Amino acid sequence: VSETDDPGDQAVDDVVVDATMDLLVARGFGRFSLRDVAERAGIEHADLVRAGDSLSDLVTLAVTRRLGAPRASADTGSFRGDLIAILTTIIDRVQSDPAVLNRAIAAFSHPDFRRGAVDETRLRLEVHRPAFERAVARGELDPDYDLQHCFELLLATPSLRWLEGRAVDPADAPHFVDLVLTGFASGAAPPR
Amino acid sequence: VSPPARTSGTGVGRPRDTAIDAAIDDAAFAVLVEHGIAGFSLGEIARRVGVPKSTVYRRWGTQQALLVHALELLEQAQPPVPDNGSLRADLIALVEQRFVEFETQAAVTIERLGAEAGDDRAVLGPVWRIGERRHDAGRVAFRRAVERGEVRADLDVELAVEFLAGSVWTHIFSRRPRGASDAAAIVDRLLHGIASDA
Repeated sequence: VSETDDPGDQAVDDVVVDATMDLLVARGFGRFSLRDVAERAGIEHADLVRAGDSLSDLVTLAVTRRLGAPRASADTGSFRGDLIAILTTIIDRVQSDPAVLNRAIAAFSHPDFRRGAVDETRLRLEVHRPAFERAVARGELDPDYDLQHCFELLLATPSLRWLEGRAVDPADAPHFVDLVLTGFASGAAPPR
Repeated sequence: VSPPARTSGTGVGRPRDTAIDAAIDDAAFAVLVEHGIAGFSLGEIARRVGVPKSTVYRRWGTQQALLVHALELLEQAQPPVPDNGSLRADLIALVEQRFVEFETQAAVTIERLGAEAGDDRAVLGPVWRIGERRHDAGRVAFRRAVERGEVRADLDVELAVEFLAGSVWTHIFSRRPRGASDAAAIVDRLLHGIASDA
């Protein structure tokens, strides 16, 4: 898939991206090949291979395009509020598109797809760093926080439910965030 | 990870060679872990055992029946719940167990099977039961912690169990190191959260 601005290339790219996403939904990971993508897109397999994309790269690109550019959440005035807003947005976005959800699940279980998914996810999460910097400025978060660690906790419960084939209710986001903020050891209570 | 000792059979007619039954179990388990559902074939299992494919067919009838049996073997291979006297120690032990499972591909196999199964309930059933057994290990640890007063009185144990299991997955997903000190760091974040103490 090209990175040029040529409209002709873009049209081909769109067809390939759509074919990849359709197969992702229809068959799931591990059940289609580059040849299947080419056939569904109506292009020659050799042309797709010459473009230099692996199936993993193609899926990552397709999902990235489908998700669109990540957007920073608004300042709600508290770290808890910001985290709830961020998590709610992520839950809604992932669950709104079966292909994105399938890819999220497969990224956990297929080593071939995990690398691209991890790199892409890290880039997308960086857009939320201002919320964490605001929390540090307000004294709600230690300055030596690790953004990845924070998101490992924030996305823990939704990720597990998706892996187990369950839907996540966005209304549960406050419960997830409270556990992330205070943990479950005695002597701590969720901030209100 | 290896399959547990054989506990059941489904055949009819003359007594079967239990050594072949056990060899089929071992091969089915190995093929499932190595290749997932997509690569699970009676032909490959028969080849590994060194018997004709018809021998496997006579015992199991269909590939699906043996696949479900192999999933059940995977389920029975889950380790017992550790009791180390404190929630922190129990959780670290559980997280370390999951790291080992990941290294042996057993955990990944189970999740991959779930992803590959689509709507196939015969496959999803054992996969979900494996997940439940893992959650049971967390539940036992948290219930002991409730009795010892180690967790908040208002803690939602079911949510905490999910939080624990999910945190292991997101840590593995991020390709971070997976040693004993990493398990302790994960558990400490789970216990105390990320909010500043100030």
